[in-house]
Amino acid sequence: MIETAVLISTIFLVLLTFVGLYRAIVGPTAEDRIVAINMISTKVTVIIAMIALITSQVLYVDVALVYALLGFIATIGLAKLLLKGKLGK
Amino acid sequence: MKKKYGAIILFILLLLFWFVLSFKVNLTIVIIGFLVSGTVCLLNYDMVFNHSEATKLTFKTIYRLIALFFVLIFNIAKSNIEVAKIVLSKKMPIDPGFVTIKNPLKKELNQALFANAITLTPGTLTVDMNSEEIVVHGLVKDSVKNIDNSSLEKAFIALEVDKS
Amino acid sequence: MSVGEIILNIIILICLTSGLFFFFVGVVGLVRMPDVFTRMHATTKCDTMGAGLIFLGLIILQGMSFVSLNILLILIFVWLTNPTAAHAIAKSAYKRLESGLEAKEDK
Repeated sequence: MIETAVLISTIFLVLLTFVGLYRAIVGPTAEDRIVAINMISTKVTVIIAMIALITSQVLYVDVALVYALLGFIATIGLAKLLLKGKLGK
Repeated sequence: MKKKYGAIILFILLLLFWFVLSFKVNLTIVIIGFLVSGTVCLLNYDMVFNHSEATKLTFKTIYRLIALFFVLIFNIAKSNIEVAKIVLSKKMPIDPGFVTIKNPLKKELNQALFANAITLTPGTLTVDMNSEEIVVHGLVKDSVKNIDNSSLEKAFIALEVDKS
Repeated sequence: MSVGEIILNIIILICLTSGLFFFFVGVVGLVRMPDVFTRMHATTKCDTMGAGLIFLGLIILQGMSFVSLNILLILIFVWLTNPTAAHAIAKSAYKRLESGLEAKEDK
């Protein structure tokens, strides 16, 4: 029964992710898009962890950890690229 | 002396990380964990904790860190409820703007933590900082003034004062 | 089902529901707010709190094991990196706004 609740919240989170994609497509400046992508990556991390527990494939939790790392690196890199015009020093 | 202190902390952190990631414990995993984290420490211990003036872990400091943690949780919950109130009301009573406040802290690690904590407190967002002042964007401009003498700032200053 | 299990399930349900509520508030703020900084206010705070609550519910659901330790690691990581990423974006937006570059809308 509690698994059903987790499944329903996963579906709700997926719908919310698509609503957030609206800002990533429309958003007037580049920063708006980065904010939207950052939020989407947090949500996808949560979704992967929930799916790992629903299907009891516990190794998927590692995938969630790596996804969180990648989202953070992508955000930092994009922000630095906007700020300096290049990556590196 | 300082370098050894940093290297030991790095070694313990790496070992804990290894054990959390490798779902079970047996002899092979323990040996590989010690070897790998020892090698990583030997190769680059001077990069992580070299010039940081990290606060030494005494009982008083641990107590202050725990107090800081609870203050932070309380502030995060309050800020979320305020943002929810503003966003869900019909005509969003916001008055955004930039405010510059003084930086009360000296150590770099504490400054970084303080900037992160400001981002999570009600109605404020750290935009830019140097060693003297912090530029804060406020959702409602007047609420930025509340950072001075708040419980959060007091907890951070208490962490800083300890010289022992 | 014993009484203890029912109480645990209720706690998990409360965690999941409030986490979903905060995520919802974050998305509504992202769509409704007028400019970059105010949007960042909504997403940063609400994402941090929502992810924390949902991961807490998942930890209680899983019980004590290596998997819940792993989820705790993800929680700490998200709580540390989310404000840092927000700071990076805000700094970039602020510098571009100072130098007057932000008016150009990119295609």
